[in-house]
Amino acid sequence: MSEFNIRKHISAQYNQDLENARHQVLRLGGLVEQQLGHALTAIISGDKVMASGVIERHQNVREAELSVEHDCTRIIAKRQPTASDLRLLLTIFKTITDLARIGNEARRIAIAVTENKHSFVRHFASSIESLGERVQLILRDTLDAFARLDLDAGASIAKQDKKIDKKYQSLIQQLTEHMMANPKKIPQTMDVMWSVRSLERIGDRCQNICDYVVYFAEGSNR
Amino acid sequence: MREVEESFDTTAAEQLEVANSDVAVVIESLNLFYGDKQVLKDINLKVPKRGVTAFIGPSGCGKSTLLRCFNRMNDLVDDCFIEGRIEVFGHNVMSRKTDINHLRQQVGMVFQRPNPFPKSIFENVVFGLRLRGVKNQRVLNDEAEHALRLAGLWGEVKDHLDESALTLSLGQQQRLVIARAIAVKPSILLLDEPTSALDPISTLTIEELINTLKSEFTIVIVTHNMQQAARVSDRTAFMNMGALVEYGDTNTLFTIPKKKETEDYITGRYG
Repeated sequence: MSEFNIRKHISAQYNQDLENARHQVLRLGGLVEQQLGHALTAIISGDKVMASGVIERHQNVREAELSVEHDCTRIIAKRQPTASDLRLLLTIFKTITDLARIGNEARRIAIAVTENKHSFVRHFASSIESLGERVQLILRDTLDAFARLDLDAGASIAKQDKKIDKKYQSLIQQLTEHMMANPKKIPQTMDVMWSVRSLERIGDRCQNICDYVVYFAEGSNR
Repeated sequence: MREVEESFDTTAAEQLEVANSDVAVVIESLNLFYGDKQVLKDINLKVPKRGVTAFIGPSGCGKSTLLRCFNRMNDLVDDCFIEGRIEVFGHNVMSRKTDINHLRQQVGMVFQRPNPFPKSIFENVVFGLRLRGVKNQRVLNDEAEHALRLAGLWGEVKDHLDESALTLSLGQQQRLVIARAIAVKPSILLLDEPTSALDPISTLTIEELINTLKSEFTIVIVTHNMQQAARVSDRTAFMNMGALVEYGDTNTLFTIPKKKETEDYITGRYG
């Protein structure tokens, strides 16, 4: 289903409503991307002010999610969508849930930074930075795939996710070794581990979103 | 991207697979003309026994005309010429030997506007039975009660059976007409836009009634209301410009239609 087709309803208002819903998803995606970027900078540099900003702005992510949800519910109630329109709305519903959860992961990382749990993160800064860059890239590519309704993006996103998993495993190995060598630092290291885990989960959520795009276009999952 | 067929080729209509033993109506290569104008184009369709089959499509697409072929109501139209084959429970209804009265007893029909006779509620329900020569009052009483109960009207009218049917509300009149149709025990019930003259609550009552009747009768409904087709039917046939475009399971047709014309129609797009 191309963007052009979304605009082909007899009712111009219906076209407008569906377009708006789709644009709002991309707006939410932009917000989440920004939150993730700031959370990563905060964890790597230990910048608590930046981390606090991420926590404050999480409300915007939540509001954007609710606003799309509200608009989609209204469209369903008023238009009783069918076929590709119905699938588009279901895709939007599921996508915003995953995007909001990515936003949650960013918030979780930011909270850990403000609670001073990453004071010794510098040992792993470059590894976390490298993992973070990959995660930012996969999110950007996923949002791109959603915007273009690109069905083939799923394969490349899956490849990217595998690389993220590899980096994650190696980082977990480093953290485990660090804990074994410094048993007193286990609690702090565990906190870093949770943040790293948050980053890894984002890759999985991006894969979900690519699956939803396929469902929208083909009516089934591959 | 899912392949969506764009062709208007009627022979390529998406069809519902129905086992021969489960078939109530078979339509083969049906062409229908009003004078020079071809209204139905090479329709091939099998309606399974029981359950609800809905015909949807834009005005003038031929869905009501097709429905009226089931019990030869088109015989009443001057200049109507039909070719092809229509079988109802294995009998070719196009044959000259077909007993039309028997056919219409077997294939009942309810129209857009309720058309009760200007008689009492009771006399409306037993009208068909009296025509068939049933005189025993006890049988008539029992059959009237049974039909009114099936139509979900008994509780509302049981104390006023002698009152004129015209005193009922439109929704009640439509259920009375359905009771009249099912009193003669048809196998197939044709509903031609049965709720288009009714308010939303009466519409829901009729839809609920369709839902209870479908285990006993083969119901074929023509409706302009696509959501109604989605709500009440098990199978849906989409027609356009006299041709059958797509015929399949209702759940699939309304979520993943196979043809572009179907998609455009049910989502309100211009093709």
